Amino acid sequence: MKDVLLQVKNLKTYFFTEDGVVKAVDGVNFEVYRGETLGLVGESGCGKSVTSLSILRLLDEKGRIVDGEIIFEGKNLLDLSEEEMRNIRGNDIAMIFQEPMVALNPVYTVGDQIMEAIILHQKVGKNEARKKAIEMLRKVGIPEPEKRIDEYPHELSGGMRQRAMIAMALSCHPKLLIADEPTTALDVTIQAQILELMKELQKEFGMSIIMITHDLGVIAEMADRVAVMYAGKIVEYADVKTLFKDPKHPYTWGLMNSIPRLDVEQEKLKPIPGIVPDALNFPPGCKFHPRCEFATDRCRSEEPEIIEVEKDHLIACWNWEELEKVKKIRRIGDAV
Amino acid sequence: MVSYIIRRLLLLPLILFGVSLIIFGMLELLGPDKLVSVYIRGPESEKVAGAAERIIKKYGLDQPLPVKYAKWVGNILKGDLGWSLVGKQPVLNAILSRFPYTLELALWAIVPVVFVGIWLGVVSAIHHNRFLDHFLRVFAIVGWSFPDFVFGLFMILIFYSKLGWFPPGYLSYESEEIVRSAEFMKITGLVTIDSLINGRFDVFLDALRHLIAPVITLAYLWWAYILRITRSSMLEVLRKEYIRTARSKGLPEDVVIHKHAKRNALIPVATVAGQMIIALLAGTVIIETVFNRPGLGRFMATAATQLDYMSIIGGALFYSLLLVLGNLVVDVSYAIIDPRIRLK
Amino acid sequence: MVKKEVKRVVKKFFRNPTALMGLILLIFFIIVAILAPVISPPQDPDNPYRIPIATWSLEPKPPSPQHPFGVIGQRDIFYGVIWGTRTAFRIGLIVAGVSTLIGITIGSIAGYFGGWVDEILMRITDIFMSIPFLVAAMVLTTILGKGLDKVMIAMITFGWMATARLIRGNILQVKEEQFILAAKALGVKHFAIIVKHILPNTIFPVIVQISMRMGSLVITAAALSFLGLGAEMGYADWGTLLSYSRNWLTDFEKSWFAIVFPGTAMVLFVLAWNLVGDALRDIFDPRLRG
Ligand SMILES: Nc1ncnc2c1ncn2[C@@H]1O[C@H](COP(=O)(O)OP(=O)(O)O)[C@@H](O)[C@H]1O
Ligand SMILES: [Mg+2]
Repeated sequence: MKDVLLQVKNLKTYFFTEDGVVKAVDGVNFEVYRGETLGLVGESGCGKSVTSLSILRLLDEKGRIVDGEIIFEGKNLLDLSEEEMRNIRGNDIAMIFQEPMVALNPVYTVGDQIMEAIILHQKVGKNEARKKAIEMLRKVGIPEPEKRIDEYPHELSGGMRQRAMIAMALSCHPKLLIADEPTTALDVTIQAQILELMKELQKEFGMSIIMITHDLGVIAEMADRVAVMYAGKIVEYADVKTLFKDPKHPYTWGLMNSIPRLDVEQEKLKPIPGIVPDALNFPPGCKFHPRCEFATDRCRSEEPEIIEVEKDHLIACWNWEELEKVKKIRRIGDAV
Repeated sequence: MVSYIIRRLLLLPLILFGVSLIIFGMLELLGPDKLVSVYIRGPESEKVAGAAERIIKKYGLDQPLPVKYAKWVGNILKGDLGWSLVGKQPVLNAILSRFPYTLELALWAIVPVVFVGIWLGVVSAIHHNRFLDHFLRVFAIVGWSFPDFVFGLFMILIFYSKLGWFPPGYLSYESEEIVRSAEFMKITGLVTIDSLINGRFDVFLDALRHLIAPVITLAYLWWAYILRITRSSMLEVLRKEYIRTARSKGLPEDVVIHKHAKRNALIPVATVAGQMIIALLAGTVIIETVFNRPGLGRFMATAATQLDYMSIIGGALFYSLLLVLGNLVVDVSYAIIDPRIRLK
Repeated sequence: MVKKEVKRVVKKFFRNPTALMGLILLIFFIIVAILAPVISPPQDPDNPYRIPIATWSLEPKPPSPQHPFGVIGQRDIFYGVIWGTRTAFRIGLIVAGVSTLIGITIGSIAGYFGGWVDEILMRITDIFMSIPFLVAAMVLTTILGKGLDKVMIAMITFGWMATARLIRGNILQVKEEQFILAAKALGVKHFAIIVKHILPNTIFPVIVQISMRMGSLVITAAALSFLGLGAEMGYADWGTLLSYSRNWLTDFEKSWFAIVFPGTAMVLFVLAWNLVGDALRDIFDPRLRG
């Protein structure tokens, strides 16, 4: 049996704003095994970033984790003191963000920002830290790291900046890396390079990754298992092959129909109608029902729990069998 | 950055030219007749036969505007700003001899303004929306609403009229005697420094006693202002993603604030610092009058009430020069703090 | 869009206690200004701003039932404070109003036309900002020959630049937006575009700026009066009233009321505007939203 590194149980993170309570994350469960990559996918605004910030307890003052547990190596992170938590941040769990431009401090050099974490967690001197930082920059494929280390973030290109971010995050060899849309802001060729780099480094360091993205292409490329998120909840949870071959939640199915694919011939791309509902006033029942072509009265009034419908394949849907029928008909249609 | 500074330097003569045009324009509003009578009030030409003709010729008063302007600027560049009625000496000398008093007052005010203001702003931002923050916000806005001369009058009322602690004026009679005496060396022209050089600690303390009330009056307004700017800039920076990055590395909160946030937050504060120093200098017009201190500010106020046009025009030129040069220094130092500009 | 925005602003405004306090203070001052003839009936109805002589003795008199704020410079301080409210409103509204209009005009032209028009107008703005405001106002007032009207002219002359910059910046932003391009494509005239499409979008920041400036304008005018450049002696003006106290400062008993009453009126007046302006700024400033 594989070894669980992180387990998130019934996580609920709410923002208490002037306009009301924003239930950004509302009862999320998943686990991450050692050495694997878990993909967390969903349209923007569905609570992916808030989930990841909750794990590191980096929410802003309005945000509060109102319920749940986050078990990391057997300890509930929510029970730790702020100081114990700081020992985990950057050391055991590191994070990289979407926009490398705004995620690096513009008034300090790249090297300074990498060395900071090394000095803090590995208790080494400045010279030693500098050596390690240069080593790290070389590992992430930055040319002339001895020179680049003294440059400011805005002197680097977008791709180089994200490499520097990765170097910073991995400088203390974390056991878990949370990557929140690490390639969204980059152009396509650079995206591929960065993903490739992350895979290599994962092999080298043996860490686990939570890969957050709205891009199913990235998921297909990187993830071992996938959690599909919608409006603060996980709606489908399966390994990556199963998910792509046999999506069972209408939302996942909709997502897949909305992206171009090479392996299956599609009649036409069909985006999911409507948008992610505002977290301030969710619809009653299943939050996806206003956009769902299979919605029934039950969906409109009662919220489905996430249940295992096949081995290691969980979904939260009342009416998934309906979707199975449609898929069957399609397959027959394709064959004819 | 070099090209940035060069561009900035190239703009300087243009700005100075523009400023001189505005001030020349104001002078022209007096009309030719009045101008002759204003210029003629100098000592060498007063009431001498043919003086009016000489003045008209010297300043080109019968010439078209461009010629008049050229002559006016020419005289100024030679250091001839005309004759000061109030100072009974050339305007330039009058200004230069009074400036150290004003500078001393402004310098003393800057220290508390910058340090206390920034500190309060950071504290307020860290305690965002908690009691201390609300308290400081109210303090800042009430402070900002208190006109400086009203505040000064209240200071005198309480600390002089009622308590007798801080008298208005510059020095006590005894100290003034000492300062005026031959053996007192005037090196910087700033009495708080000269008195220490001369080893006259009593004079230093006396000067300080007279400085406290006007310094607080000049400073409190800018405490409030710097507090507000630092606070909002700090709040904005604390929301930035790189702060989140810094926290995600496990850095302790005081490193996050004092290293990562403060440096970024102080960039906008630095841009108003120049504006503030100039405003402090200009603010002395009122403060020196209220507290009855000698200096350029009171000189300007007196000259204005006595219609000493040459003096106030000279003063306006001087203050504008300070402002333009001050802004230049600020822009350059701004570029040094912020590497994004430095390397452009 | 504008209507919805107004609703949002009103809602937020009334949730903010300091803003409410500012509004209440402001309404109080407006009532005092309107009711001035009732509260302090003028002796000479044609010349209500002239504070009537209360006594022939030069000595200041502390508050008494007859003169609730006392007497200084032979004048009744209460009368001066009440009618001074009107003076403060007049100065503030006229100077803020006219200089804002000038600023809007210059800023609109610069922002809308761009290119060398913009360059020239902005350099002129820079130049006007290169003379310290108080000094510039003081010199121009003196040259124009003193008096409250001259003070206002001087403050307007050197007071339009911030608005011009603000408007220009906003226009540059709005200009790129779709509906402006559409209007241009339809051949709508320049002037019509500015007035109908651009200005409504920049009106909120201008309102904030006006309310934030009201206080400081009244302070500057009062300071010039205090120095003896503004309102003439005996005129109902807070700055002038305060200047009377200068001769009596050595004696607490003879001067406190001459500072405390007009001084407090001024502080509260400025505070009212600043509180309202501050609240509006917090509401409109997108960076402070959330
Ligand atoms: N600091 C915050 N204050 C209030 N609401 C927030 C905050 N951060 C996120 N939210 C809300 O939480 C929901 C989820 O946001 P997020 O996790 O950023 O989505 P994404 O899946 O795109 O990363 C959104 O509705 C967002 O508006
Ligand atoms: Mg996100």
